[in-house]
Amino acid sequence: MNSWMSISWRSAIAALRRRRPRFGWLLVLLVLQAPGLARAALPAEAAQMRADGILADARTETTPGNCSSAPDVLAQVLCRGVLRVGLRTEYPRFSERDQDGNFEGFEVDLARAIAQYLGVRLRIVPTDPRSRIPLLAAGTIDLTIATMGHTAQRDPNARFVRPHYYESHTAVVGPRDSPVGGWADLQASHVACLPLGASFNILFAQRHVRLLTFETPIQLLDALKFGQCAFVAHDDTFFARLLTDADWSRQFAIKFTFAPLPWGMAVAVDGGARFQDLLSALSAAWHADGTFLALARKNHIDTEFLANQKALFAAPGCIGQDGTIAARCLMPPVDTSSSDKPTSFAGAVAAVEGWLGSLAGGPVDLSLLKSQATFDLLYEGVLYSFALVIGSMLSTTAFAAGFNWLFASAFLPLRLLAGALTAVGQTTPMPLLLFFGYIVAGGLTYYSAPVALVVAIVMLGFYNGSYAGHALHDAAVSLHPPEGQKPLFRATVAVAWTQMVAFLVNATKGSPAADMIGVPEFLNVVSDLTAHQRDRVVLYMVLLVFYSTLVLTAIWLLSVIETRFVRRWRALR
Amino acid sequence: MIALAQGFLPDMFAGFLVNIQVAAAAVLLGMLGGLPLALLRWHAPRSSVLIRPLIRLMQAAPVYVIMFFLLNLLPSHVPWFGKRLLVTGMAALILSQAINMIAYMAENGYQALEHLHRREWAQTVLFLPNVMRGFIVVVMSSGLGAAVGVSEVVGVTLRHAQRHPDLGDRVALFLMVMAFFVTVFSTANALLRVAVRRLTARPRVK
Repeated sequence: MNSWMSISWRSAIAALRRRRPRFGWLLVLLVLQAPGLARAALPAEAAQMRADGILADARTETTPGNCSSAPDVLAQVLCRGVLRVGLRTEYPRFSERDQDGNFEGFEVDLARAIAQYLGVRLRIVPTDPRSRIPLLAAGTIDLTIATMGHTAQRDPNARFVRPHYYESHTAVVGPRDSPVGGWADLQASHVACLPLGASFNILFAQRHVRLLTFETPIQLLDALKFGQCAFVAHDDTFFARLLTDADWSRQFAIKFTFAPLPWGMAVAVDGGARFQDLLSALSAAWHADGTFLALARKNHIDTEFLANQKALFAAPGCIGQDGTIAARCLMPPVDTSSSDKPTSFAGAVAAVEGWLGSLAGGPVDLSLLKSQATFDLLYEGVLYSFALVIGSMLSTTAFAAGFNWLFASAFLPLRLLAGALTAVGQTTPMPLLLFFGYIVAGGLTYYSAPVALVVAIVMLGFYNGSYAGHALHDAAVSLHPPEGQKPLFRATVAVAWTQMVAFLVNATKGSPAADMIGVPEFLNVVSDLTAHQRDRVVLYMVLLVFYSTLVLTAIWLLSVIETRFVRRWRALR
Repeated sequence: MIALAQGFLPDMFAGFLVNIQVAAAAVLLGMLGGLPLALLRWHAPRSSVLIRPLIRLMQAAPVYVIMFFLLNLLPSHVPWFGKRLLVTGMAALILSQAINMIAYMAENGYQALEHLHRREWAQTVLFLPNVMRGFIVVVMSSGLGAAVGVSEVVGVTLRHAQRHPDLGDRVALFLMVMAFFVTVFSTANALLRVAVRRLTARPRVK
């Protein structure tokens, strides 16, 4: 590609000006290249020339044998004769290993093409979303091509190459017969399987969908296959091969997509500027001349984005005659925190993080408290938890009193009804009761967080109240009231107090299970929010302490009631 | 209704089998963890100072929260005789149930030892129905596994219900499962009562 055939007339004149002593010889050559003088360089050629120029400059600075003293990453690569590229290991059609362990895929071919252009050998370094930027920063790899979305948040940590080499959307994939077709169809009872640490997880959390997160994309597919989740979400590119699999496609389909994300190659921040420039020019050239598109077709991946980029860069206007790229033709990084303002006390939280980190001997992540959006969700979760605990204790008492009243009725059908209802309450698993309530409420009314709260309170009360109601009835019988009379309710409660306490505490302990039907209480919020956070230890510790405190508070409250009231009621027997 | 049941019942029984497996594993772990605690407390009474608060703590622990705690903090794989075992929601469910069962077995085991010491055979053998009671409680509460993707009976029911857009079908499905549970556990409780009566019955004087 770097031949005289592709030299434009401007660069030829520039060369003539620089090389006056050989003017006559060059003039002969220019005459021979007369047709080339008549036209401007094609965009691809101009960008390629710019890349060639950067490469040539870097070569002149490279001194074989002392690579560590090379001025930057590009010079080090040329000196070493090896390009170390971080690639993923199990991303179908982009970068994966075949049965013999050889890498194959679009990104692998891209890495090979870059190494070939530089005239160096390629060394592949396996990487993953967790390590792809740290390896660059540590100088372990020279370049990462690892399905990495270019976000504003990642920009400070790596030099992204633009134009981008690919674009993905987040695809929500579920059973073909699933009614989910968009955000509006997601329900609180849906279990979504998501990649751990994905920035889009919060979008599901904010819709109170139950989240399960997985370390590797293959685990997501297993979870979907074995029915562990209603749907999975991942980059649409990940599903490229699966969608061509007839068996898989018969069962599953993309339900909807959102959040377009440009993918960028990236080099290190320190010493990577020239390599970034070279790769930018090369990327523009390869978009314009169709190299990217050809590699994509070879690997059978979706080519819509690349076809659009080819049309953009091949047309005049995006690549200047000197190979520079117009800013308007470059996609900006996606700002994933655009709606995420910091809390007013974010600074204090950072200080606490530092203090806890020094105590724990490692980093402590409390970032959920630094973002206003996540803090609002947590605060709401705490309020819901309090409402749930108080509500379920009250409803347990109400159901117990109700069943006791029915048992004591002179009317046989009412007594039979009490027996049947308490039998159902005592022998049906509580999660099943919760879901039954959820199904009924969902069918009768618009299912929302407050509705979920009411359903949970009623079902927790029914479950525990059926036991407590029996205890009250047994206590009432044990008081041997005179014929035709009922014992005082307060005296009955006093006799059955130990059992009442047990079931009221049980209602408190069971309250987090309301998370199953989408009540946005504290556990629900924490488990959903931490889906996009890698360090979850501290938050789950906080969660345990919170619920233990809640149970202990309930026990303390009941002991106060016993001291103030129940002891007096015992005298009423 | 019959068509509904035909498509659902095989899955429901398969799901119930998972509940049974979870309960069996949790009870086994509970025995392995709880009985040594009971023996230790019996043979070294001073250890009660530590063991009793530990048991109270395990009794107070909310199973559902523990399950999520374990699910999020356990490594995704654990080494097992040179292989890498996948840690799933099932493991978190079993372990969270096992924590309560350890406390339960430690308490019941200690009680049985006391009765044994007093040569109260009838009361001592009550340990067995108590183990069965614990087993039933875990079978019922293993439905919590639906939240972490375990394909037990509650999760299976929910998935089937989601396939039926009609509210009547959904309610019928749930009522079917509830009837199944009422039948199974009412029978189990009745059998337990019979077992307890027989175990504690005084030998007839000839």
